[in-house]
Amino acid sequence: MEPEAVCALRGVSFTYPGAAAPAIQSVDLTIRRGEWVALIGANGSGKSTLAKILNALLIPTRGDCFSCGYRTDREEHHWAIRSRISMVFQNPDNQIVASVVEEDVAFGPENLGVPPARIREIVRESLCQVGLEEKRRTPTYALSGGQKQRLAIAGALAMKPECLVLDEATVMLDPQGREDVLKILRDLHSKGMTLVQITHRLEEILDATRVVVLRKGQIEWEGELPELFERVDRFPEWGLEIPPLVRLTGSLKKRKLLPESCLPSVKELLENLCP
Amino acid sequence: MKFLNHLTLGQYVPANSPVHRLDPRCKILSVIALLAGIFLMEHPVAFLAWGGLLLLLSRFSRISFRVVLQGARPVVLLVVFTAAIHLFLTKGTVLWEWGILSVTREGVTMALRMGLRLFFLVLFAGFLTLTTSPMELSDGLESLFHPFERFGFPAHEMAMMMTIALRFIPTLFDETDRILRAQIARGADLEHGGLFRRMKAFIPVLVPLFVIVFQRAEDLALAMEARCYRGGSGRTRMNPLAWKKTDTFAIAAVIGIVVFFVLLDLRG
Repeated sequence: MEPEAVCALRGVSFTYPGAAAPAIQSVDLTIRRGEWVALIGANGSGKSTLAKILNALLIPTRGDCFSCGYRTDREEHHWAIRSRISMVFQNPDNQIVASVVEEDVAFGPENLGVPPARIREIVRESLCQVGLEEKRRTPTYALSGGQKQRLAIAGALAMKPECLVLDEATVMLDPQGREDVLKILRDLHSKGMTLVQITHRLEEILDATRVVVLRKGQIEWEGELPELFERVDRFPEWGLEIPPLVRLTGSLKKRKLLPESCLPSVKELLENLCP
Repeated sequence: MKFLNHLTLGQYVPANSPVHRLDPRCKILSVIALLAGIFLMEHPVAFLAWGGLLLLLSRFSRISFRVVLQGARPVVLLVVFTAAIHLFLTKGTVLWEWGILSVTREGVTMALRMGLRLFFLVLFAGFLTLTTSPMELSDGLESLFHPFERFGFPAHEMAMMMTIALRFIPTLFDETDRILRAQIARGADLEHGGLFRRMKAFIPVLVPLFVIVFQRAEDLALAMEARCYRGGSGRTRMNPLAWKKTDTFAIAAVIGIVVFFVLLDLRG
């Protein structure tokens, strides 16, 4: 395993019990410290399975997976792995354990055996990071969908992880909720947090440093964002929808109205078209 | 508009009140003492005193009395049913008779006693969940049951199960509400017809609800595992339980009041 690698998968395959075909097949992937890796692909491409393998929630049926230097197939390593690689799932309602905001954030550090005074400090820090410090004593059922997902992120951050894995964490949110979560991710990444973002919304990966495309459980393509948008013609084959902004940027590039390096974001389009 | 209102079904209402600040063990033991006192009440008039205590508690805990009363809404039918059974089936001096139905003097007293007893039991027990967060409640129960762990009693697991059950009440009410709306939008008639027909009409609501509950349970277990949950051993608490002088004073006051009420009741 490379010294800078947070996760390293070598020939990893995983088949769900009773399934005929593997969900993940011969995957080789390294996630380095400080990277923002976007895992994209159609439904059933194996994205969520891969996320759970990184966190040792699923153990590869073939191959080796190392997370934060620990082999995930050793049960005695699971606790150490999960305290270093935190996960945020799709539905925030299914990951909130407590009935009050601060108690839910404290759940992880309490499991880790952190002393009470330090837990209170961590809870305050984590809630500040996601902008929920005012909601500290609010019942969790009274939060909006976006606030619940921010709470789930605070719960994950309270573990003080090296890497945050987000499994379609914005899929159930409205546009404002999505933007709030993405803002938090940008902030975390700027502070050096390694991020693995699983999504099928291409508009949300514009800050990723690397993109991995999964198709039928295998890595179909891997590279940087500008290179991905040069392969728009392969998106239907990968099961990805081409967002309107990507289409527009592509058309403008063809007409030489935009430089090739321009990303399909409103900000970049405005900067290039209305300097 | 919601079909179901879940706000007061055992839900915690956060507030900065003296009752909220009490140690959960003190509140659990106080509620047990209060419930025992209510069970010992014989004279229906004595319940006026319990009503006064309830008002006082509502004031101290800064929870509106309306919210406290709403907590008893789900058991109103049960209270009426219990009172009716005692009203018509207790033998004694007949006051009114119609066919096989008869109301006796003893029946009226018994119906009032049993109905009020049940009503007050629910209201006082409701105070515990209204003023104590499920996490605190679970910590309190775990601590109280801790001595039984040496006999193999799973104190932590039981407390955690209760925390999660209370946490999921509003979520499952929302889910039921959503399914109800979906089925009504598709033409399901849940309000007309006889009892059997209406029960049958609820099957399309119950089946998806059960599927969702199991799916949620599986997802929650995975999320808890991802957050390093592995039972009670080695776990710490953000706010460790600490018994204060105010807790001793509160429990002594509650026991004193209960004994006073019971003695007053015994003297008629």
